Parts: sequence; structure tokens; C-alpha cells
Amino acid sequence: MLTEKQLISKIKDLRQIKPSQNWVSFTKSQILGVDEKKSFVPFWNYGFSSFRLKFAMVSVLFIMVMLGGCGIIERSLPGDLLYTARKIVHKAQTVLLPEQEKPAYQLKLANDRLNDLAKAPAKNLAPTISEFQANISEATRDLARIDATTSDPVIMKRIVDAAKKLNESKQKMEDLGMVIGEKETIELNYAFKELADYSIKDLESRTLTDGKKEILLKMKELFGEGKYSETLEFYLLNQ
Amino acid sequence: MANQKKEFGKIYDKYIEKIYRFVFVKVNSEDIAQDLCSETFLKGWEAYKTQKIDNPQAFLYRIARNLVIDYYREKGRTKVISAEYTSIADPRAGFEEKIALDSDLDQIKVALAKLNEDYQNVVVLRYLEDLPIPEIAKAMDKTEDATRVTLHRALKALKNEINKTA
Repeated sequence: MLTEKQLISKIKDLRQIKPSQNWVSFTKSQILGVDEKKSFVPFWNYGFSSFRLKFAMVSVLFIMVMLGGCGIIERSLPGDLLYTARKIVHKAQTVLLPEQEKPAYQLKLANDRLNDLAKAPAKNLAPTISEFQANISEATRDLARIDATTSDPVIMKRIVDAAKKLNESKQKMEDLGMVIGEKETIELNYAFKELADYSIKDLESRTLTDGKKEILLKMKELFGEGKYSETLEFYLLNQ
Repeated sequence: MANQKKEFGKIYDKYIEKIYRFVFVKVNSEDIAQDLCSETFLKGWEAYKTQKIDNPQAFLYRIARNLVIDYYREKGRTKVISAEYTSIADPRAGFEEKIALDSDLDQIKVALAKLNEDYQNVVVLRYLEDLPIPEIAKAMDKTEDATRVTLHRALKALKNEINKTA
């Protein structure tokens, strides 16, 4: 029979797991743009002059601007080669957004993917659905970090509007017999349920005027019907 | 900005191995551990630039923990415990040959992999990374009392798992 001391000593043996030093240095240089340990030598140090590098970068930028200007990148669909560039743009925009604005943005992206589905040829269908699911999951995760009672009502309104738009697009797809992202939608709905529930509890914890009491009743009614984003909308409209 | 980079560089150097180990024990893959670990520090750096992080260690562990959860959730992955999957591969080439890991160590890896996520976290953070209880509590969003209880139960569960396979 193993004693606790022996058990702990065995757990500590797992310390032998370590990352490779090359990867550690490389990742640091990628994240911080520094290369203190010099274990990773950039390719331009191997005879690629600074002028050529700048020229190459300007050329790539020029091509991206041209493609973007022609709307080629924007029109690309998941599964297309150029979609990677579109996704990079989306990622960069997400990183730059304040935390509270991310859910609305992800919901908008999900809605865009639904719109893409309508025009996607067969080869793009699977990647587009998968992107849609990823956007919904991201939105759900971002929503979980939000507190409806302390967030800016304007931002919350944007989230609710984006969710409503998404529901409408999804309903249209379902009317055409296309049911996608069920699991992700349930999780998203649950995130809205949590927010709506919290906003009801917030009102319940306050001393309310008669008018506010009616609002609370209406919110409870909507909540009971499973209309969580509408519950939230009602709460925000009457804040 | 240069100063911020320097400071975060120090944080990176201090915690990279710990975070990597924490993630690796959970995902059993060098590539995925590297990806999630890079993302942890990238998110950490993005946050560090814009807000004051009082406790970088707890903050990074929290990011890493969430990324591992997302990884399993998004890909619909479930941890399947089978004889061939449970063994934690070591990232270093030829590691198994270089260091003879005894069967007891394999046993602990298998048993640890069978614990639930909370139990795994608390055991790894406490005994592998030597974090004090208040730090673990912060990283796991729990109270210190709840963390102590979880740790006690986790050790008991780990012992049971080992006894089952012994």
C-alpha cells in the first residue's frame, strides 16, 4: 500500500517533462518580437538583404490590399485558399476589440457564415459549417465572461441584436431544411439563459417601483417561454 | 512598451516550463501542448499590455486551464482512457531510452489521467508545481477551504486509482 509521502514523491517525478529549449526561445521571439537567446536565426540573416525583405513585404501587402480592394478576400469562403487571409483579418480584429464587444462580433461572424452557406458550392459547405460552429462557440465563451447588470447597455443591446439577427438567419436555413450547429446553439442559448436569469435576480434584489415590478413580471414570462435574449432586451430597454 | 516587453519576458522565462507541463499532462501531445502553451502566453501578453496583472502566475494558469477546456469542448474530444492512450509521452526525443521511467511512474500517469479535471489541476499545481494553496485557489477560482478539500479528495482518488491497478 502506497503511503501519501510515496505518492507525492511519485507525482514530483513528472517534473522530468520539459519543453524543448529551441521551442521556448522561438515562441518567446514570436510573442514578444525578441530573440534573447539567439537560438533562432531569422531567414533574412542568411543572405537576404534588408532592402529585399522590405521589398518583399511591401509586395505582399500590396497584393493583399489589391485583393482586399477588389473584394476577393472578403468574398472568399471557408475552404478557399484566400479564406486564410480573411480569417487572419477577423482574428486581428477580435484581438483588438474590448472584451465586452467580442460576443457581438462573434455572433456577427456566425451570421456571415450562415449567409455564406447560401452561396457556398458543395466543396465549401463543410468548412463553412465548421467555421459557423467555431464562431458560435467563441461567442458563447465570450458571453460567459459578461455580466449583463454591470455592462454598458449599448454593448449589451448590440449583443442582443446580433443574436436576434442570427436566430432569424438560422430560422431561414431551417425553413429550407438545413439544421446546423445544434449543439453549439444550445450552448449559446444557455449562455443567454444565464445572463437573463442573472438580470431577473438583479431586479428581484432591488426595491422596485410598480412600473419596474411589471417589467420584472414580463421578464419572468419571457424567461418561462425560453425567450432569453428577449428577456435580456426587455431588461436593457427598461434600465 | 519596451519595458513592458522586458517585464513580460521575465514572466515568460519564469513560467513557461510550468505552464507547458501543466498543459502537457492534460493533453498528452507535444504539438497540442506547444500550441495551447503559445496561445496562453500570447493571450497573457495581450492582457498584460492593457491591464494590470497582479498575479501573473494565477492569471496564466487560468488562461491555460480555460484553453484546455476549450480544446476538449470545441473538438468534441473526450478523454478516452485506454492502455495505449494513458501513458504520457515525453516530448524529448528518445526520452524513454535516456531515462528509464519505472513502472511506478507509468502507474501515476495512468492514475492521474483518470481523475476529473479539478482533481488533476489541484494535484498538478500543488505537488508538481509546488504552488501554495492560496495561489491554487486563485488559479482555480475557488476558495482556499474548497481547494484544500478538493486536494484531499484528489489525493484519495489518486490513491484509489493506483491501488486498483496495483
